[in-house]
Amino acid sequence: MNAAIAHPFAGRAKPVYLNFALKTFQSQAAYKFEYFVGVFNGLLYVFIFTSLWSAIYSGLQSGSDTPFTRAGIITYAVFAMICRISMTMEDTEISSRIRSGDIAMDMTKPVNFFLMNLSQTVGVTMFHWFTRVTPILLACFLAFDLEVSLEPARMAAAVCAWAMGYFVFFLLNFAFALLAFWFVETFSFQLTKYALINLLSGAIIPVDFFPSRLRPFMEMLPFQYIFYTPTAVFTGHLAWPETVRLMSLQAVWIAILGLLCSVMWRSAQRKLVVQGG
Amino acid sequence: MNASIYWALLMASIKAKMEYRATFIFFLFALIFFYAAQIGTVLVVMSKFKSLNGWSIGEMAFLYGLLSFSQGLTMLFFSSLNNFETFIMQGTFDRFLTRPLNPLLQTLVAGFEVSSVAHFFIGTAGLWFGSRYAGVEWTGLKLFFLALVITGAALIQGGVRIAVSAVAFWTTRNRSLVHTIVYSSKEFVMYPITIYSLWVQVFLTVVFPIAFINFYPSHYFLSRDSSAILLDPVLQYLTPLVGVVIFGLAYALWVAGVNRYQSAGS
Amino acid sequence: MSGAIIKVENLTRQFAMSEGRSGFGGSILNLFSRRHFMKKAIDNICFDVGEGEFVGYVGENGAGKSTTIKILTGILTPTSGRAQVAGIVPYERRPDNARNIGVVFGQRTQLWWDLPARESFDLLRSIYKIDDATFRKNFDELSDALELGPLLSVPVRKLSLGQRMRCDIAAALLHAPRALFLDEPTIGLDVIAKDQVRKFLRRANKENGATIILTTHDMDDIEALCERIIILDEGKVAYDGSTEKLKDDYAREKLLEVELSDASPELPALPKVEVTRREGNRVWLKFSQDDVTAQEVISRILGACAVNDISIHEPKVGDIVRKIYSSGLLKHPVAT
Repeated sequence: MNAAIAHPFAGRAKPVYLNFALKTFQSQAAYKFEYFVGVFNGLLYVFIFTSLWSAIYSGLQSGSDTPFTRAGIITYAVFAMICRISMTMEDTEISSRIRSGDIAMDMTKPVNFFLMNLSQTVGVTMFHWFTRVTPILLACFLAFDLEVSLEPARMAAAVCAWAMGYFVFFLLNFAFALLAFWFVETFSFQLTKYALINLLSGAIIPVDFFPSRLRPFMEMLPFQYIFYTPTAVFTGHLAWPETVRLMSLQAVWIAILGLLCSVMWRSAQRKLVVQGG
Repeated sequence: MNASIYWALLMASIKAKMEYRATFIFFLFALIFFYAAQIGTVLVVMSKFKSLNGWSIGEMAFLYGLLSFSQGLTMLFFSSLNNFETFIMQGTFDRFLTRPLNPLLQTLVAGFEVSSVAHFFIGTAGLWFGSRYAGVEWTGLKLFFLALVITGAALIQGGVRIAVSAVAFWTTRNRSLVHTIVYSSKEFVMYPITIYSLWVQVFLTVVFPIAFINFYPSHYFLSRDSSAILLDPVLQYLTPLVGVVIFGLAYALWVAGVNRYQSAGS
Repeated sequence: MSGAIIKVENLTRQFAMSEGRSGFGGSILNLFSRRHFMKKAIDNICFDVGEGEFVGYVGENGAGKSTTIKILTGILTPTSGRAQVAGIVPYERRPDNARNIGVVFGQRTQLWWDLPARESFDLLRSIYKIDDATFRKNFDELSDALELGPLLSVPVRKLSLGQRMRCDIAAALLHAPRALFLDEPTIGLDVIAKDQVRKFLRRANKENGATIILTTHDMDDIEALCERIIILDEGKVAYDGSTEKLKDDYAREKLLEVELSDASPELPALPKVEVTRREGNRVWLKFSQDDVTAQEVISRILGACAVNDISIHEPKVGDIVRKIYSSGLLKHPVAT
């Protein structure tokens, strides 16, 4: 082999899951149009919800008792939406691969299916951080009066809460995606999931606004730990005791959902009926 | 003769959908649940705050109900446009062009979306609750105008979808655009547009007139103070007209797109 | 046969099926009840594949080919019976089995759609943990043999079917698997691409000793590549033996095409030989090897007429297999 021409595979092999994340990142970059639409969409939603909250709060008499100040709720709305955008996950791919039988390709490889999906999702997330979260974050700082204290301990907790919220979300999505092994049409399940997330995860309304009778039930569901907890920790809305409590509950849900996914996956493998092909 | 062909295609579509039995019913319920949750988010807030820019809970429910019901009508006819880019990419549209039938009609009939039933359900619920809580008095005239408004609103939404689909004739891939325009625009008018800044309100009235779907006509039904309406109180009556105009423009764009598609090849 | 790479013992797999009624009224009734029954996709099949064999695995649609392959690649579990690939039970130790096998599905690609082929190879290198030297060597060989050079930086979605198939085959062989499973690899390829693929597979088998199982409907593939053929019919093995023997056993008839110098000479007496066609100078003669040998027939003709050209038409595997299907399950499945 001519030494002057570098071999296309010079250098060492990358660790497999890191490689998956990188390749997913690269393939996202292939769709340029998606950048702009994604950013535009995100900004649109931030605009709608901040307008909504401003309007709601402007109708209030001063001194009335609410869990947030006007500035506080605007800050919450912005960061909740950014949190949501930062955790955008592709949740139909696994199901469609199961239905089409393409999943057979994945299963003839000596890789851990769960880790492979996690690394691919992380790849997409990295991409979204670069292309969507960053511009939207900048735009929001310029457009709104956001009250965020960058106290290090709180920031560290927020990062941790974000990571845990990400895991809760990933595990939830993974569990729902696996349903495709048992059901031909899983869209109804996905719809139900979306409904519950829209309502209960804190992406649009912070948990504080729900009637106090419902709060205990909401705490027993995983949803508020996805967006509400990280956002509330980040914006300083929660006192430390509450922060610690909610973050521990995040961890609990990661364990519960992790167990669920593991049971489902083992069960799916045992069933192993690959449709199509 | 043509009508029976369309009918046959429609029947084939429905039959295909009915193959999925219990999942079908479940799907409808899931869809209803989803949209209920969607408006539920706002109603939760409203229950605490009582009014949004001068709109009570009942009026908000009416606003949403009108949007939802007209969306049901839209979905009934235009839902196959959601996947239009696949028709182009897989050559299905080419097959439509080779048949002696209108390609738009064929596209529309190709994907009959039975889920529109869910929208009708939610829409009716919204309209019913809304008119009860807001104390709307229904006269024959109002009901007649409601029918016109819903048709007009469906024409607006249908027109928007046709226009956005037509973009695929130029750019081939338009899925994210479809998603943004069709779904995000719905989010905009779920709330009274007065919550937005002035230039956005103007935009939603003149440039991308989706405010005519539910916001302006609601003033008429809810007997709201029409002097507060941007530009002119007459806007509350204009929905049917706007619907026809938008639909006409969208269809013109579609025809231009088909011509371009045929001359450019794929 | 000891030292067999693939061992299949009494493998059976059932599926639960449901049947609906037809018609519009029927589709409404289907909402309430459907008929359920069990169907055996494969029924008690047994075979061994030794190292370096090139086996054709054929059967009509629904005969059970894909089911067997799915079991051997670990993505399906059998209802009863046992299978082993390189000493590992595929559906019990899927990741370990995965390291030993390479799979090419003709209609699906394992390459990443949006990225250049090179990226997929890089990913596979990580997945199979191939050490650098081995990887480079394997890649170079495959790249040369399949002429992948210009294709490496092209996004896979832009490759033609033939180009993509070459990349898919390379991808399956990068980690030097002990067994290669090919499912319809030449489907949809043009004549030149098919030829390229076949040449490569033949080399891989003859020179590198690759063990290959080929599932295909294309009988020319089998004719060109497989010295052994296993025919499945309705879930059972109908034939398992060398392709030569298949022809010998089941195609006793040969067709002789003779071009005579004269337009209509008198043909000699040819007992048990049927003249199927005459066209100008040409005569087609059909006879069974059981009755008379080709040698006898030819020598009789040569003795009696002036002949320009003679050709013997060998029965083609495709014709034989088709005949086997149309006559139903064989009474005496033959095995070597």
